Amino acid sequence: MLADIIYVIIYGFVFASLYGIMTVGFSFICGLGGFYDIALPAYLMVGAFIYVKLSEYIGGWALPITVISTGIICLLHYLVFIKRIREDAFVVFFATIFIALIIQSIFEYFFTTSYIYNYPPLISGHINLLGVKLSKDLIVGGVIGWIALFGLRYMTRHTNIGRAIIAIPQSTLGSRIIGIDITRIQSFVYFLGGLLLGTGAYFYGGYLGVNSHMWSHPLIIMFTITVAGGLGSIDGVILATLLIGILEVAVVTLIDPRLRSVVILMVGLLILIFKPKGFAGKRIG
Amino acid sequence: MTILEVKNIDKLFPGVKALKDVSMTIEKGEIRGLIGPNGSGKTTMIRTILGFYKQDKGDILYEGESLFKDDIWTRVNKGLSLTYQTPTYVSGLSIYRHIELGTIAKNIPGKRIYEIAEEVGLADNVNKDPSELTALSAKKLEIAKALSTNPQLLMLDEIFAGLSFEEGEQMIDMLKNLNKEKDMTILLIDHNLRMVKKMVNKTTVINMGVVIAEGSFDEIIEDEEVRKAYLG
Amino acid sequence: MTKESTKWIIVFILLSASTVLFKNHLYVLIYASFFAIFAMSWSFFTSFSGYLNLGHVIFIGIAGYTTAIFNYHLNFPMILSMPIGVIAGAGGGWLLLNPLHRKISGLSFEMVTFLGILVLSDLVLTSYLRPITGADLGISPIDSLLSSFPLIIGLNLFMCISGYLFVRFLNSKHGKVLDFARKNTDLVKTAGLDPHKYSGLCLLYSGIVGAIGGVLYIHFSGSAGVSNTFSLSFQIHMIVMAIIGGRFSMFGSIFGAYFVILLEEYLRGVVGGPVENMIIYSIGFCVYFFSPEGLFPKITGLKKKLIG
Repeated sequence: MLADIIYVIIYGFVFASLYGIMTVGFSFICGLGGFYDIALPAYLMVGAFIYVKLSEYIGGWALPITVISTGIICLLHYLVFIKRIREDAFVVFFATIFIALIIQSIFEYFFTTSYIYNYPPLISGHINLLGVKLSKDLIVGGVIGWIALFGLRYMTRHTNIGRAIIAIPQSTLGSRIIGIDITRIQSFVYFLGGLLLGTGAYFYGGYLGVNSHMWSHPLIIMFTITVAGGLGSIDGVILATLLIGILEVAVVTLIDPRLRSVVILMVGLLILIFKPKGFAGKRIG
Repeated sequence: MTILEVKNIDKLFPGVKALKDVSMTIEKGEIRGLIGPNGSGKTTMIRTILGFYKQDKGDILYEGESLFKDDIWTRVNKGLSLTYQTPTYVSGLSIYRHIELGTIAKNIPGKRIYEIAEEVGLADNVNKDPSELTALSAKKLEIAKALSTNPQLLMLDEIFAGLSFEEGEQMIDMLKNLNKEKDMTILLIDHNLRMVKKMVNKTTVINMGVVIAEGSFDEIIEDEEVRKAYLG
Repeated sequence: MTKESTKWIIVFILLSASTVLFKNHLYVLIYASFFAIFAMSWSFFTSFSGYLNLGHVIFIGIAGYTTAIFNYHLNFPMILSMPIGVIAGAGGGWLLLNPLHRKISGLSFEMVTFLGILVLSDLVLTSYLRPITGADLGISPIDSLLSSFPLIIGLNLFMCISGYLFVRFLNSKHGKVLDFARKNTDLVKTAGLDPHKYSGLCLLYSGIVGAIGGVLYIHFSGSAGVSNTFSLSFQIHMIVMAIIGGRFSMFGSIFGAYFVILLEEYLRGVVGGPVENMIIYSIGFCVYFFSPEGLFPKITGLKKKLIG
């Protein structure tokens, strides 16, 4: 039992950091624009496929290329589509569902729905931490993730653009009056969110497999962490991702892996009903 | 007979206590003024009475019964009604449709819609879109909407704001008429002390969420604390 | 006879005539009518209540699985299992969605219904429910409705009657309240009306029609599985149809359903499944981006322009 608990906590921390960096962009974008962008988890999938295919030819160098290209794809996604429709949250919702599904069918056409598992990790080998066997790759990923999350937290307190990202969700009207350029900030957040998604894609895909339908579970995770944390709140994301990460590992190891989406969505639903503003920040809609 | 009794209510918003231990009693058939500087809690007060917010402490009694468990629509059906501070309507739906909406709950017959339009002076405009109305007519629509539910207690939120002196006078005549002919109780919230003075039987002054004076208009205007609140 | 009922009688006659003309493709027309019923009942609630319901398939799914379970496991005849399915589907779906739409509003409602479908399909597939739902194999075989003239005529009749009743509802005082509620619920509340009572009723009617369509569809398919009940692509399909046709009119949904099914039938011979989906989704995306009111109002507008 104790071994189980240690396992859940250690893996929970690692996955929490992974889910945290996947969600930050989604949460900031929700906070800034007041809409959900359903296409983002589809770009996680795009990132994972880019890595899988590129690494066949150039090995580990595929990772930086994946990260940067995912960032650019997200930025383009914003500039081409979202910028035009961002005023209407319902339009964004529908349009991004279509984008996600179109991406899904394109990948299904090229790669079918079968899973690609176990592409070689960049850092091979395992270590034993309190009796729990962990791949070195995942540990490095987890540490990088936590550094990134706390780095972002630092950025939102000590840089102008970071403060703007946090300030706008509090009062859109106020920020317009004091003349913050929302397009510039949203472009920045999409690019940054894309870089993090690209990083997350490598770890997520490496651990859970890559296929053309893989975006739905990340979407559930992003949504739940975002509503639990409160939109656009970095502290909220850090807190909520820890909760969701540990919860997910607990459900997967102690109960049944197939229930993880169900349990996480139920948590999201309960928070929406009983604590609609999340742990910190504001509600949507 | 007492129509509304507000007993020691508190209303908290994150970081602000908007109402502190507020009490107020309104008699049936009265025209009551509720005045106070900007941000003093006047609008919070009537929105709490109608049920947009639930008070954190205290109780509100309407004709002797607590309203605590009632939703907005139940309170409206009991006889409370309010006008919005900024005219609130749905563009694309006619004035007729707006008045009709309030008659649905109580199954009030359709000819009453025209009567109301007549009473407030919108009879010629019933098929117009609310966005085409002048400031005065938009205020009249607010009153028409409030009247469509057949209220006993009408709460008017800044009904004189944005109106010229003459328009204000017209509005006063109309409201006094409603009060006299229908025995309708009116709770008037306003900045415009000149207009308030012409209408009210009694006035309550609220500042920073606290009732600071109550009495006839001439009495409260002489009150030291009221002068301080208004003049700073 | 009112103008509205005349319109629906004409639609019914036209659709029935098409079945005679294309009797070799009866199967396709039946599919189109099923989807027209689904798209119409989806857009009835979504377009007029102000809530985007992405979980309409919950009505169809519960209804479909219930009738299949009663028919397959308990050997109920189809004629009995279907009404049970309708009651379970409409009632069960309503009991889940009605409190939800009261509690959470706007985008969060969409998101929860959307993700709810993903999760429900996961749940059906888990091994715990395998003895009942058959997991990924589904429940098969069950009694089937054969592709026949009486079926398509019956479906079209049901579609036209429901469409007519939907329009009647929208023109009644219920519809009048909803016109306000989807723009400003406070106005409705201060008029002494509970807005959710009206949207809840709208949801129930949408669910009843969906559930009736659902049990018929499951028995027409001959099996109940995730793909013809709780799947996201099934849900998106009916949404695409309503969007392409024009989701603010019942005729738009019917037009959209026929358009998409016929197009898919054509594409099936030319390209494979994923490409077919990609084309349909892309059309939906383009229509939504460039002409959010859909194609049907465009076509009728063009007709008016030409005739004068």
